[in-house]
Amino acid sequence: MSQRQGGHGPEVSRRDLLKAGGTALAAAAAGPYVVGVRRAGAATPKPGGEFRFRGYTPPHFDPHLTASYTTMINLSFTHSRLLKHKAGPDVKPGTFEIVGDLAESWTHSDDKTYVFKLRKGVKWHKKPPVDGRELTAEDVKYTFDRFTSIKGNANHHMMATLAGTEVVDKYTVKFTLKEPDAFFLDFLANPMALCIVAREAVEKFGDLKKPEAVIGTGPWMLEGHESKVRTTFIRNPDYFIKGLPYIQRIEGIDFDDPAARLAAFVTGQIDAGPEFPGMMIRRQDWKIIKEKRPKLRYVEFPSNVMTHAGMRTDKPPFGDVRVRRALSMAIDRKAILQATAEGVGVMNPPIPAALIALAIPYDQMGDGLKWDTYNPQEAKRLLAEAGQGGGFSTTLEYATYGSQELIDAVQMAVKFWKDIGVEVKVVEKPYAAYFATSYQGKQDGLMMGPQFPALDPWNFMAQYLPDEPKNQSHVKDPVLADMILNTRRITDDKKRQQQIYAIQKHIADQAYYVRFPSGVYIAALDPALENFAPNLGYDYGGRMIAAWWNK
Amino acid sequence: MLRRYFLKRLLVAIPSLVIASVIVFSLVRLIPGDVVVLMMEENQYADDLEAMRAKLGLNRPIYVQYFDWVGRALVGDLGESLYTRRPVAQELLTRVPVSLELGTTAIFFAILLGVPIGIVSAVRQDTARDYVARGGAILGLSIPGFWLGTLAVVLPAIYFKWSPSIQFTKLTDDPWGHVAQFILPGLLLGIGSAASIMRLTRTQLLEVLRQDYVRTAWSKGMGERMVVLKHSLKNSLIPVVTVLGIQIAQVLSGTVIFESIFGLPGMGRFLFNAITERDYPVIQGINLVVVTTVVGVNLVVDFVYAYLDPRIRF
Repeated sequence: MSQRQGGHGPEVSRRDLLKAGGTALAAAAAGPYVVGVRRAGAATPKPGGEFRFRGYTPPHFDPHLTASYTTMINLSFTHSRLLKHKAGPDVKPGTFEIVGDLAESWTHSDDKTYVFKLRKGVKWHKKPPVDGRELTAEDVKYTFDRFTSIKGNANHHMMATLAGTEVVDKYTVKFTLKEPDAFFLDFLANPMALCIVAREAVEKFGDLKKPEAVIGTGPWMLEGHESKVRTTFIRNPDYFIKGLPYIQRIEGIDFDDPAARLAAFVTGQIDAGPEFPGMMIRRQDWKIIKEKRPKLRYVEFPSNVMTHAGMRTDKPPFGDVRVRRALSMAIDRKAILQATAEGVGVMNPPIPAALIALAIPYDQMGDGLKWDTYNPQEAKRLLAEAGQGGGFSTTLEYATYGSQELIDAVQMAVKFWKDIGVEVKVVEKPYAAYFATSYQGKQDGLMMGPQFPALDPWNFMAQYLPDEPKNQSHVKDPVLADMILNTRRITDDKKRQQQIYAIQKHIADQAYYVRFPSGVYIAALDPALENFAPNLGYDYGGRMIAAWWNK
Repeated sequence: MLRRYFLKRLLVAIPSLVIASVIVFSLVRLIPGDVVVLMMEENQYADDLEAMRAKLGLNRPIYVQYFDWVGRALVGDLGESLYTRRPVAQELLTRVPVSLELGTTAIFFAILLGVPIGIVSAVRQDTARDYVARGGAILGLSIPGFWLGTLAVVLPAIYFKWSPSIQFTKLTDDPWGHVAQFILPGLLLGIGSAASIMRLTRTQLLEVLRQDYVRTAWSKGMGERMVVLKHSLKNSLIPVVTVLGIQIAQVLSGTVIFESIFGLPGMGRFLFNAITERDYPVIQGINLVVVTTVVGVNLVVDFVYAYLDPRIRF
């Protein structure tokens, strides 16, 4: 058995999980499991060195004009946010404790007012036209004004409750909300689009799309960008945390082929697992990689990518809760997990199990758990009770996403539904057509596919609000909508968690979507990389700030 | 006479290009799904759907769009990448050389392997060497290139902890490293073409070797090298050159996969990514360049016919 890192809370090895079968799978939903990670060795960090990872060519570099994760990953090295998620070996993957980034401290005098005190002496990168001047509250105001007013910002919804910002003094900025929003700080800390940008760069370049416009206050500066070849970053000597970052140069190498990525990692041409998201490796490659690089550090934790099947609950027969429950009970989730992820994964409550702070423990879903449990006989009985004893026919729309695992899951689900008399005709759509129709709930019967891997619960709960485009099941449940909207107004963490748990119980009981299990990621790293731990989300740079090479 | 032949071939190439341009232009518009909606959802290329359609020029009649596109293409303006915002022609300037280097290396290996093995196979017909060569050619034709490429990358990594570099080396940084990075993908990409060329060379040479004038050469006591290489080979090469023209088109399409596997920033990889990102100006631009190249190569092939066989003046 590999050594385990201390301080990571609940630890369950993959072998333990496999031995214990479904129970352990369900139990694992309560937290990530960590295997084979050792504690940092030498006590004194050594500056210097280069870190090479599988990089991404973004559509462009303007965080306010794209929702692309490729842009956000690159900017995580170069830009700062007001707040960020805590990173480091002591952070459990799947948890997102909010800490200050540019903000030294913050207060909220009432439910709708937040005041942030900025760090003093923060310098922009020494690049024209900003040329290393000091960051002030004006920059923060400018960023949020631009974020909320610019046309074509796909992430505009993140600041939907923001009424305006106000500069109190050079280092203080006040945010006023239209209504209480308990998720406001989560959005500010999210490594998605809310990095602080410089007015001069926008004015000089027109927007921030070009590499020359990548000017931030982050730990590294953009050194070079060759589309579809590499993006490189060089240490920012004036970073506001003295001495950090330790690593001198970061190189993101952009290559598409998974076999080439495997070969590159096995032969040490890159230092971290090359699979998306967050330095992972594919489970099917794991055995080979472990043999060839036995000293690797690795951490396993559940994925927040949750696949589900949505259905037209505004039309018969899916409007009948008994039909929805029958469809859910017909699915043998363990068999799907076995077929698609070598049996290693977690069952998902309505908020993916990977988000351990707010996902209800799977075995605490109450009645909803029953509808998630494989029971074809009971499913048939429910269908008969709903007047569908002879079964019915419907369609299922999906796109492959280039994933054999998804194709297998779809085919297995169709087989399980056929077992209870529901004939499902699969309609495979090109991704473009799928995204524009089925993903927006414009399917005839069923749709199936992975959902956006958000780090906050709001994104998942919003799928149940009547006017949301991603309400793929056309849920119109006033009680549920009230419960969800109320969570924004609950500022007490414990009470909010209880409310979110109650929401998940309600959703699971109503079986609005058929949820499928998620796999478990394997994040793997060169053993000489110290003081680094992976997590969900695109904050590659944030997690690298205090890492260093011990070689 | 020869000039007239060249002019005629040149004139025949023009309708080919026109038809190809219509196809390239139309196919993009036949892809299912509302591309504009998708692009707005994914990448916010414009403020709203109408602005997006206007940006793409999709709000105008289709014939106007076509003539506008062709008109600009004729002066080297292939539009702007929606993804990178850089001119497509400028992007291609850096990528076409990479694909050409890969394609040239592949054709080099295809000829280097295909012609000599075909000759040996024909001259030593029905011997062990012939059987091995023919068996090898069948394998070369039937094994998909992407599979060979994947094996060539993964197996050495697993068994010898070596794999080709994933870092593209520029000619200016390291000339030898730059050339070396094309050898393995070029060899693998050329194998399929080598097999075709080998089989055709063998067949054609066997036919020529049975001609009366060759028998006469043998009877005059000429050596094997003289009979085969000087008197027979040139006459058997015309169909081989024809196939070579077709093979160049296949090699160009093969670069899509090999550039992805070997991390070469060429035109094929650019096309693959453009399709993934639905970057339609790039897809149209690359396809136009490929089609023009293929038509151009076939024009050259026609000229080579005239050189190989002066009787050809059709």
